[in-house]
Amino acid sequence: MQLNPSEISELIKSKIEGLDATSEVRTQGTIISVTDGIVRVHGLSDVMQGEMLEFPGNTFGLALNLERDSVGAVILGAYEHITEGDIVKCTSRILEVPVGKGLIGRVVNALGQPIDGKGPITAQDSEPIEKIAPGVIWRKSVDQPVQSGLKSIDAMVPIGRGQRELIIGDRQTGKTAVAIDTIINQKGENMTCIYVAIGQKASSIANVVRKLEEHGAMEYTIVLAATASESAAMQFIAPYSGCTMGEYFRDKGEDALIIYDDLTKQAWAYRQISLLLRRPPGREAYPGDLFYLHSRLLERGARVSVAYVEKATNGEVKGKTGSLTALPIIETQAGDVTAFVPTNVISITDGQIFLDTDLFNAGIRPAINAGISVSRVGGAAQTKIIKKLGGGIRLALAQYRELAAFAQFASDLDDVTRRQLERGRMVTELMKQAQYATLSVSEMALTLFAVNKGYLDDVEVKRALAFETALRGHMRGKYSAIMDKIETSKDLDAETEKELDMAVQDFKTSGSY
Amino acid sequence: MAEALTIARPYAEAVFRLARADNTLPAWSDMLQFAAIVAGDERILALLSNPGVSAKHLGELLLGICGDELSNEGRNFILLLVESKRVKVLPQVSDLFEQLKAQHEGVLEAKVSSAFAMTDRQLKDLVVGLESKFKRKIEAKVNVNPELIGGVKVEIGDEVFDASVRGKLEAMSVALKS
Repeated sequence: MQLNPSEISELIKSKIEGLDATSEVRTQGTIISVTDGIVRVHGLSDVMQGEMLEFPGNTFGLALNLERDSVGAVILGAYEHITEGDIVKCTSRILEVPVGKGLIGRVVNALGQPIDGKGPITAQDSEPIEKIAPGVIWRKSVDQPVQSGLKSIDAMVPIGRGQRELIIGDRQTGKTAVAIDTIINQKGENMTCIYVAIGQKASSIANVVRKLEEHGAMEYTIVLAATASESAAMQFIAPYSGCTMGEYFRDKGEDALIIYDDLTKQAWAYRQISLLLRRPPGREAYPGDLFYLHSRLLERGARVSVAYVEKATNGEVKGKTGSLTALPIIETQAGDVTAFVPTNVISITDGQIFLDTDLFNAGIRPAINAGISVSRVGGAAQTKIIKKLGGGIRLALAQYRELAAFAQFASDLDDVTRRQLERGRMVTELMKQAQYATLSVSEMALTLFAVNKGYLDDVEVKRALAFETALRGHMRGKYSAIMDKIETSKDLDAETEKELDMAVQDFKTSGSY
Repeated sequence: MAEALTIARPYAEAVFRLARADNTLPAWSDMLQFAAIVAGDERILALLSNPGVSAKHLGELLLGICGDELSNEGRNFILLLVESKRVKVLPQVSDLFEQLKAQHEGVLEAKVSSAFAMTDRQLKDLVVGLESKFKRKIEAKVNVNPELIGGVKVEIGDEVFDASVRGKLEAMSVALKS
C-alpha cells in the first residue's frame, strides 16, 4: 500500500508516543515444513482457528489446522521467501479487508489491495472476512425486485433483493454474460455491485472490466479478482472478502448485488488446501466441510430489517432495510447437476437459472432452460406489470418443449395443438436477447403485451425480433408518454392498457416492420 | 518434527511416570540426555536405516556404547525402543521428559536476550517480575544479543515478551507496509 509522507509521520508519531510504555506480548512458533503454500508450525500454543499469522517479510497466513504438536497454516500470497526455521507470530486478529465507498469503481485482490494502478484506496474502515450471517429475527422477507434486464429471467425466474439465485451451466453457455448484463442493468437503481472473479484468466477479468467501463457500470461496481495464477489460499478467501465488502452496504441500509464467478473454482482451491493439510478426502476428494464452505458464505446474502440496520449503524440510519443479493455461479461438467458441488449449492440457494448447451447451440440465448430453472422467492418480488403479463410464460414454455418433442412423431395435428406449438415457438423466439442489450421494465412489458394480445400471431417467427425492435422504436418515438407512465408506476391499470392497445394497433396498421 | 513429537510423547510420559514413582528423575534425565546424543549421532542414524543390521545387533551396539551410563530400567527402555523401531525419536523423548520434569518441579525456563550485558540486580528484578506473573520459579538463561539494539526480549515456551528496540522497529515496519 502506498502512503503519503504526512500519513507516515502521523503514524510514526503515534507509534513513538506509545513506544516507551509498551512491550509486545505475543505467542510465536517455528516453521517445521513448507509445502505448496502450506506450512506446519511448531509452537503457537495460544493460536485460534482462522487467526491471521504473521510471517517474515510482511507476509500473512491463516491458521486452519490446530493439531496437538503443530499448527497447519496457509500462506496468503507469495511463499518463496519462507523457509524452515522462520519465526511465525500470532496476531490475535481475524483477516480483515477494507470496506466502504472508496472501493467503488476499483479492481482489488482478495486482500482488498488495489491492482488497477489507480493509486491507494481511501477506505474508511476494515472488517473481518468471516462473519456470522444475520439471524432469523433480523431478516425481512424478499419483496423488492432486482431487474436483470433480461426478458427470460425477469419474466420466468424473477430475482428479488436479498435473494440467492444460482446461475448454473456447462462452460461456454453464457453464465458470466447473464451476470454482467444484470450488473449493467443496475445503472440508476441504487444498487452497488460486486463482481468476484475466482480462478479466472486475467485476460477474461480485464475483458469484463473493460465491458463494464464501456457501459458506465464501473461507477457503481467493485471488481475483486483472484486470478488463476494466484495461490489457492487467495482463491479460497476471495468470496468471503467480496461478501464483507457487500455487507458494508447491506448494513448501511442500502442494496448490493454480489456475483461469485465461480464457486466451483473456489471449491477446487479449498480442496487443494484441504488435501495439502492432510484432511481426509471425501466424495470427489472434497473435504468434509465443503457444504459449510458455501452455506456460510451464501447465508450472508440476505435482506435485513429496519431494526437490524439501525443496530448496525448505531441508530444513524433509520427506517431503511438493507439487502445483499447473491448470484453464485457454478460450472457443471457435461450438464451433470448431480455432482457434489452443484447439488450442495442448489440446495443452499433460493432457486437456480439453468443454462443449457443444446439451447445455446440452437441459438436461443440466453440459453435458459425453463423446465428446471426456478426462483423460490422471486414471485413475491416480481414487478407487478411483468407478473401480470408474463406470469404464465415459464409454464407455457416448459409445456411447449414437451409438446414439441412429442409432436415430432405426429403427421397431422389438431388445430389447438398446432396453435399452441406456434405460440410456443414465438415465445421462445421472443425470449432471445443480445448481450449487453438490457431492457427496461416498460420495454419488456411492451413485448409481453404484444405477444399476449396475439399481435404477433400473423408475424413470421424469424421476423419476430425485428418486429419487437421496430415496435420499441415506434413507441419511443410516438408514444413515449405511455412508456414513461409504465416505467414510473411499474403497473398496468385499465386505462393504460387501453392506451397501450391503441398504440400497438397503430403500429400494426403502419406495417413498418 | 511434529510427528516425531507425537510419537515420542507416550514414551516420555511413561518414563516420566516411572521416574516419578521411583524418585529417580535426575538420573533418568541424565540417562535420556546421554542416549539422545548417542541416537543423534550421524553414524548411528546411518545404522538405524540400514536394513542389514538386525534389531538384536543394534540393541547390543547401543547398550555397548552407553555402557555404565544406563541403569537396568534404562537398558530395558533402549531395548524397547529398538524393538519398536523408535530409536530415532530418542532426542524428542528426552526433550519432552525435560519439559515434564520442569513442569513437575514448577520451574519455567526463560530465555532472556538483552542488547547489553545485564547487571545481577537488573536480572533479579526481571526474574522476580516474571515469577510473580507466572506464579512459578523462573530459571533465566541470559545471552547478549547486540542485534536487538536496545531493551530486552524474554522467551518462555511459546510466549514472547518483546521490549527490544528491534521488535518495535519491526512492528512499525509491518504497520507501515500493510
